[in-house]
Amino acid sequence: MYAYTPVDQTLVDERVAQFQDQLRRYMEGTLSEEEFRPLRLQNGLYVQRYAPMLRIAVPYGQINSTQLRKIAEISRTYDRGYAHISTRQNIQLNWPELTQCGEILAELASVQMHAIQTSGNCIRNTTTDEYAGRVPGEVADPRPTCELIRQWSTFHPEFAFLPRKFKIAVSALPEVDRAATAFHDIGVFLVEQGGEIGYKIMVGGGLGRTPMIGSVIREFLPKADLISYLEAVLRVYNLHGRRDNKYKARIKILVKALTPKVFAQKVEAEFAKSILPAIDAGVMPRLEAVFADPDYQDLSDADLSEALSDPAFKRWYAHNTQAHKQPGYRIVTVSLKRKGIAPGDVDERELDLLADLADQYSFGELRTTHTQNIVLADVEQSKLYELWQVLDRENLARAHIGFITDMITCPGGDFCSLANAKSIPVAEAIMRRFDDLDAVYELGELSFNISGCMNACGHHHVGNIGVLGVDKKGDEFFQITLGGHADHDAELGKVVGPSFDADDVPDVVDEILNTYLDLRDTGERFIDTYRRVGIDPFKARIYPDKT
Amino acid sequence: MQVFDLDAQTLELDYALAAEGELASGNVILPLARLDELNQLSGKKGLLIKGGDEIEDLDLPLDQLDLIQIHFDNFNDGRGYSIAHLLRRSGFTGDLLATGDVFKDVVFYLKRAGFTLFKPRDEAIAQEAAAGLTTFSKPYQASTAQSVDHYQTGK
Repeated sequence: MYAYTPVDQTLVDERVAQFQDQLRRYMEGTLSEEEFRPLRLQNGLYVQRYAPMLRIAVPYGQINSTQLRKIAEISRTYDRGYAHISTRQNIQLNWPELTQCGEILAELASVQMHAIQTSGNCIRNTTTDEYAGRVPGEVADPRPTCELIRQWSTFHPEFAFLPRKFKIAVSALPEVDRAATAFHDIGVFLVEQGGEIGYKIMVGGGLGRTPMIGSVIREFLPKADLISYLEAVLRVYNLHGRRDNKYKARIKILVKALTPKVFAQKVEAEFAKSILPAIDAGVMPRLEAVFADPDYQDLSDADLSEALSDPAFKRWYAHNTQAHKQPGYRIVTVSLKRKGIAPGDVDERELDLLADLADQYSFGELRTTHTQNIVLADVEQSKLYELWQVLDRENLARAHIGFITDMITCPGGDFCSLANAKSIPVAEAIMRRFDDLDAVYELGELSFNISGCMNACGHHHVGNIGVLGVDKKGDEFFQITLGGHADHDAELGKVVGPSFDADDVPDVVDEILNTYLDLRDTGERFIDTYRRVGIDPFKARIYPDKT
Repeated sequence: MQVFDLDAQTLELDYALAAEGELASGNVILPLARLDELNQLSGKKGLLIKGGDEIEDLDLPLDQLDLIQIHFDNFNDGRGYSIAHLLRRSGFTGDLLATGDVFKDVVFYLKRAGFTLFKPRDEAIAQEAAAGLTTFSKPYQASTAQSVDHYQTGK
C-alpha cells in the first residue's frame, strides 16, 4: 500500500501542530465556537450527543497492521476500548476528550494516519471497492487513481470552503460496483475505449435527504486530464452551488437545477480553459508501482476438499471469501456484524488480533469496507481453515456476507446528535430475529440498511430493504423503503407506506420477506422479484386493512 | 488600511474605497457595479469584488487594474478562492487583496489561491494571522506559492 514520502509526513505533522494551535486558541477563547467548528470538522472532530467523535481517515479503505494496532492503543488510552468502521471506510472513535484530540492526532501521525478532511464542507476521503487490486476483472487497479485524487484534494487552495461536503468514489469493475459510486458527488469509473484506459465521469449522485443517482457528464476522459477535469467540476460547483440553504447546497441540487446537460457544458467550457498541466506520463506508472502486488508465492489453487467437509467452514468459505486474481489465494471478509454488538464496532483486543492475523496471513495489510466489515485481501487458500478457526473462535466469522444480517447501520441516536431514532436496537432486533443461518441463506442475497435520520449515513435508500428513523412529535418511528440497490444498475428505494413503531419493525420485515418467498421464481434474488412484481404485493401484505 | 504581504510585512495601503455618488481623487477602489467609472480615475486603480459577484462572463480590463480586492463576508463562503483563480488565470498580475473574515487559519489557502495582500478582520490579530502564511512548508498543489503539483513528481 501507499507509504508516506517525507512530503506526506511533513504535511501530516504540520497539520497536527496546526490543530493543536487551533485547539489552544479555542480553549483560550481567541478562536470563537463559530470559527472553531468548521476548522475542527475539517479535522474529523464532531461534538456529539455525549462526547466528541473523532473520524480517522482510512484512505480508500487501506490500512496496515501497525496502523490498526495504533488504533487499538488509542482506543485503550484515550477512549473506551473500541472503534467503529464507518460507511466511508473510515474509523471513528466515539468517546475521546476534546482536550486530548491533539495528542491523538500526533499518535496517528506517527503511523502515517490523520483525520484530515473527514468532515466539513470540503473534499472527503475517496472510496473504492474493498477488493481493489485483488479481484479479477478490473479495468485497472483503482487505487493509484484514488491516491492521485487524495494528493490533489488534500488542502486544495481553492476547494476548502465549498457550499457543502463533497465525496468522490472510484469504480474499476464493469460487472460489479461495491462502492456505491453512482451515489457520489463525483463517480469516477475506469473504462477502456479503443484499447486506451480512461475514465467515465458521473456527477450529482448522493444520498441524504434528497437522494439521487448521478448523471454521466463525460463518457470518456483521457487519464492525463483527470485532475483538470475534476477541478473544472469543483470550480463550477464552488462558484454556483447554493449557499443560502444547506439542504440545497450539494452539487446534486445544482446539477438538477441546471440539468445534467447544461452542467456538463459549463464543466467542459471551464475544462477547456484549464491551465493545469496534464498529468505527466510517469505519474500513473509510479503510483501503480506503489500498489504493485505483494510477494505472492507461485501457487496453484489448493485442494480444500478435506476442510470443506466441515460444514461450518464450508458455509464461511462460500459466503465470506471471494475469488482472487492470483492462483492459490482468496479474499477474506471478517464480519463485524455480531449479536449484542453494534454493526461495525470492533474492540481493542479484536483490533490487535486482526493486526496479528494480517501479519500472519495477508502481508500485514487490511481493508475497511463501506459495509462496515474488515477484509484480509491476500490469504493463501491452504491457510484458510486455520484462519477461519481463529476467527470463528473470536466471533468474527459469521458466515453471512451479503445477506440480511450483514447490514449497514449508522451509529444512530445512541451516539449521534443528528439522529431522530436509535438504529442500533433495530439492527439488534433483526440480528436476533434472523439468528438461524439456514433461514438467512433461504432469503438469498439481500442488502438491509438502517439510518437513524434522513442524512442517510446508513445508506437506507440503497438497501434492498431500507429502514429510516423518523421523528414524529418527539417519538421514534421507522419508515421502510423497498427496492434500493447500489450496484451499476443502481436504484433508489421506494417508501412502502406509513412508518412503524420500533417494536414492530422485525414483524414487518418478516412480512416483507414472506411476501418475497411466496412470490419469487426459482433462484430469484429479492431485488429481482421486487423489480418484477413491484411494490404493491408487499404493501398489500404489510397494510392488509388498507387494501 | 493596514495589510500584510506574502513576507508577513505590515504595510499601509493608500487606497480609498469610492464612496457612493462621488469619485475621490488619488488611489481608488471601485465596487464592481461602478466599473464603468474606471477611466475617470486619476490615481492607481482598484476594483472590489464580493463572493457573490459573477465575473466569469465579464470582460474585466485587468491590464488597467493595479489591485483587486476580494471581500469575504464569511470565511466559510469559498467563492472568493475560485474568483481569485479565474483572475490569475486571465492574466491579472497586480495585487490581490483579501479582506473581510480573514484570520490565521485561512491565510494559507488565500496565499496559494493567488492573494498577495491580506487585511485581517481585526488589527489585533494581524501578527497571528500573518503566521498562517507558513503553517505548511510544502503543500501538494501547484499554486502561486509552488511551481509543480506534488503528484507530478512524488518528491
